[in-house]
Amino acid sequence: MDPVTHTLFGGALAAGGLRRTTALATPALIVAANAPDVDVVTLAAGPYTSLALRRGLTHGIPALLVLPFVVAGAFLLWDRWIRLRRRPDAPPARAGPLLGLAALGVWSHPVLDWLNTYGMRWLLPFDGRWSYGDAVFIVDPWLWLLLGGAAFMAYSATRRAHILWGALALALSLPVLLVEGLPRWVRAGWVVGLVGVVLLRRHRGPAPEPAKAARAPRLLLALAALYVVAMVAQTHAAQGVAVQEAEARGLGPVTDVMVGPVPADPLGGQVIVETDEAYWTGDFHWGASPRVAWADAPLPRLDRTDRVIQAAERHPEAVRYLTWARFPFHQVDGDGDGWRVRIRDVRYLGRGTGGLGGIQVQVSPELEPMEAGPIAGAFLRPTTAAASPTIPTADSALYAATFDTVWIRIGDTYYDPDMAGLDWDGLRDELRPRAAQAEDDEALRRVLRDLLARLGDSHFAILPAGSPDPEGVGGGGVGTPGMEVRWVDERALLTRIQEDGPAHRAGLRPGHLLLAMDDTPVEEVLEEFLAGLGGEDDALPPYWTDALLAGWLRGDPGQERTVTVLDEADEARQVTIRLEAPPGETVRFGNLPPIHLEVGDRPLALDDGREVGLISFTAWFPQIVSEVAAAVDRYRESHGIVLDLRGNPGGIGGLVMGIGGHFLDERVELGTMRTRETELRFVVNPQRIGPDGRRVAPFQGPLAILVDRGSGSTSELFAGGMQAVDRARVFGETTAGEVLPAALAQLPNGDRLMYVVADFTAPDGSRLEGRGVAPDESVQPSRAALLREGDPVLARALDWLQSNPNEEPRP
Amino acid sequence: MKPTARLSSLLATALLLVAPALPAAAQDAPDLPDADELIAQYVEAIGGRDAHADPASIRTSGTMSIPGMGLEGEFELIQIPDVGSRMNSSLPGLGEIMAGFDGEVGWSLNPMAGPQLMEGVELEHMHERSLLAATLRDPEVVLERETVEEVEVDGQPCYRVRLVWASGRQSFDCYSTETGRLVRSEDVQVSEMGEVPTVTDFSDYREFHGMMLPTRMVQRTMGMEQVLEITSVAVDDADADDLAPPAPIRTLLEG
Repeated sequence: MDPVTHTLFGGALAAGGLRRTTALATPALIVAANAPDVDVVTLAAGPYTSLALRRGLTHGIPALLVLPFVVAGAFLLWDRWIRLRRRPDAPPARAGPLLGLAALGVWSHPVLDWLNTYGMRWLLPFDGRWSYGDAVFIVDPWLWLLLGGAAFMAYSATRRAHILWGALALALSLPVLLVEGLPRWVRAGWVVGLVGVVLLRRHRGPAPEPAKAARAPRLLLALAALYVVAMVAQTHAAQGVAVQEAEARGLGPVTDVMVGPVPADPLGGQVIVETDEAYWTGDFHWGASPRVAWADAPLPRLDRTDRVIQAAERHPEAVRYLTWARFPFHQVDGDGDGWRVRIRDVRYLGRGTGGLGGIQVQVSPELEPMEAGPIAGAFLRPTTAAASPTIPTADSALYAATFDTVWIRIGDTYYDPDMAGLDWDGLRDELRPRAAQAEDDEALRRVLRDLLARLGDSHFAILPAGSPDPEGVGGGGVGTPGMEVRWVDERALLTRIQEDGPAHRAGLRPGHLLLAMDDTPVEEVLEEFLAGLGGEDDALPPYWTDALLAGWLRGDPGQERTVTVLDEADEARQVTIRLEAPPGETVRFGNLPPIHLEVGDRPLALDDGREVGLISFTAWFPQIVSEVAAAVDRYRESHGIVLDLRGNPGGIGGLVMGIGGHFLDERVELGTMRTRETELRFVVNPQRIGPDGRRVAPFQGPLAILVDRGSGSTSELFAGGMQAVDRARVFGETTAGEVLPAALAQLPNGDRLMYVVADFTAPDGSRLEGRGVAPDESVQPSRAALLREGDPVLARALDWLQSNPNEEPRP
Repeated sequence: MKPTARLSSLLATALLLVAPALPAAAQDAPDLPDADELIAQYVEAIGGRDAHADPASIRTSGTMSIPGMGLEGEFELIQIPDVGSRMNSSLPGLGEIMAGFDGEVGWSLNPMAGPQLMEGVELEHMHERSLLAATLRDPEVVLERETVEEVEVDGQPCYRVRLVWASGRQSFDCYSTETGRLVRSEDVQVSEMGEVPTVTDFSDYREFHGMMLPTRMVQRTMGMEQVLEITSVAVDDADADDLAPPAPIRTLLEG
């Protein structure tokens, strides 16, 4: 209860006759009646600490045994040391009665506090359970009237007292008369009550006999007690009625119920019915039929075993809040940087944004609780449309948070602030409910892929948690058979064989068809892989199938593979291959998985005897730079250079500026990367210093670049740029068309999101995304050509170099 | 005790217990302080003009990391006030990255682009940043300054000040309302590749040779975060020779 009620109760007890038991009886009763509220000092430690501590140690039974001695002792000390020294003729306070009055005052406090919905912990520190009376509102004008009237009878002998009582009556009347929503009869009853008390005081006269003087206060105290008992009884009855009406509405088995008091109206109540799935709230009134007017929409109870909610509830401030919360109501929003979890108590919805009003905890993407504090923004009750009575599934919070993470991350980082002309907010309104109501992870992925597909770019993907890594299928080691297999026309075609590698030594040649490995047919492996991805084969980039086959063939060096191929005579041939570590080195670059890098070069002779250099490297990382520079230097005086980027998936985009500088003598732009914030031009830096430190000129002879559909990202950027500035002729297949810089993000449900962060345009302004680099001379892999020429792509490049002997170098 | 006295104590007790629940009065937003005052406070907060003008050279060493990529290495920065600077850093997997300005020549050398000479606006900005007057935000290099708003950086309130430099570039500083120190700088790095907005947060100030220097700098560029942490600062142990560009740059200069 509020301090006014406690104070008036102490005064009323004194007025009822206890003031005559000893000197200092009245102040002792008043102070004792308020003493347990000394825990108000916990507010200094913050609202949530205060919630966790208040109505506890100073209100529980152990404290009730100690506080009376403290209060009585303090008054005795004051009496002996101060009061009696000032007034030696005054009667001394008696210890026994003083202790009794202190005990009565102190014990009255938790009883009154228990009456409302805030709760009481009687047995702290032994048992922290809360107990609720739910009978009287924390500020009750009828108790003010009855208890204040009782005190007024006894302490209104002077004009000054009348003025002070008048001021108090006026102060207490303001909320009763002015607060909106109170019934008229309440206001009228309050005024009538005040007048009645005054008339009773006038009727009693100015100075009655002591025995008579206590009659009116006792009468009012008895009415107050009767009122409290009646409120407790009606609350108990109202709870039964609310449960009956809830079950009649089919709200489900009721696990808890509260019909709490409302201000000033003893016939009304605040209903909270708890089921396993939701909180149903409503207004109760004995004068209404039906008694409960239910709110349109329930407040869904989210699964508190959800990882996000559990993370939020680990925050110390949330722990403190939940120590007090009785009907905790969670709302979870996801953003690019984690989740915002708001926790309120249904009893106090709309009562501010901090303390009683609730707590907000930010949860990191790593599911760690971060900041906690008052809730940002007021509570808005869900409408019927927004909060379906359909109870959310256990995963709905997680699924909604997963959707939010995807939607926000892309909305924040997509290079086009206009979101490709889409109504991005509208998409959220359309798809988020579907995500939240998804039946399982796969249904959620369909919604998310729908969202991604609206943008129409590559490099957007939802990678299921635990889905197979295409390169991790099989042994997963670094051992390789020394052959490249491509999925062409529904067949596994051997396209390149490493010179003197295991497959070459086993007699395998380009153009052979791979049928099986270790008795497992190729088709079976592909089917299993697609099944692992949920059958979303349409979402697979073409080179994934090639990567899958490469991963399947790998294993530990020394491991043997039995490979069945269809050879050039169309005969099935089975050979055993011992895997070997590939040439090159495995390097680390930050937290990326180990990367195998191989830089190779060899001289080739044209038919007319002129030399050209063939340079290849497997990925664009800084470790290749010096070797590529050395290789270019070796062929600096050759007729031409062939740069083989087949199967090179890309890497660090910035490397094109340095590698390109080996072939261009001017600061030429190879393309532009555009993010939402800025544009970065990839400007070539001509390399005029040789590996040995001497000054050189960039290579100026003809340059052929070999690509295939496995050439991605930086390889496309480079090939497309060099082609666009007319510095190179490109041979092979159209590249992957996946040039957009992308990043990966972990999603709340364990899946991963691959998302685009920038756009890329070639020097001529064209986009390579989605279409790739179209070769100047297209050479499609075919079994016949491979069997005939071994490497038809290289053969076409050499033909070009042979037929363009005098082509002038171009900047 | 007279009844009136008892009633007074009754009311006083009630009001005393009600008082903690009264809401705190709202506070008016303060006026924004003058930018010149903020810069003067900033200079004092970093040790004063003399502390920064005294050293003939400053050699700063520490660690450099790019947490998002899992890269961590070391760096060394040599500054000779009003002459130039040179920074050497190494990151595993990325190699040596160097950049410098010796008063005339600005250059960079890194595995991605190779040796490179700076020209035009990029060189002009590098020169401007090497000046002591730039560190101290003196009017000779910062032609305009204006306090634009009060914001928060990592929960710390600061005054955001717009600066217009002699080279024409515009940047924003944010000075802590409590300490006066620089807690954030928003600038634009100009190079041949384009203009890249960069935000740098400064924290963990410590005193080195009378200078209060931030020992932690978190720089965000195009969504990537780079963290520099200073472990040591030495003064007066370097001279102009230490700013000499490496051999590949010298070869380029020789034509």
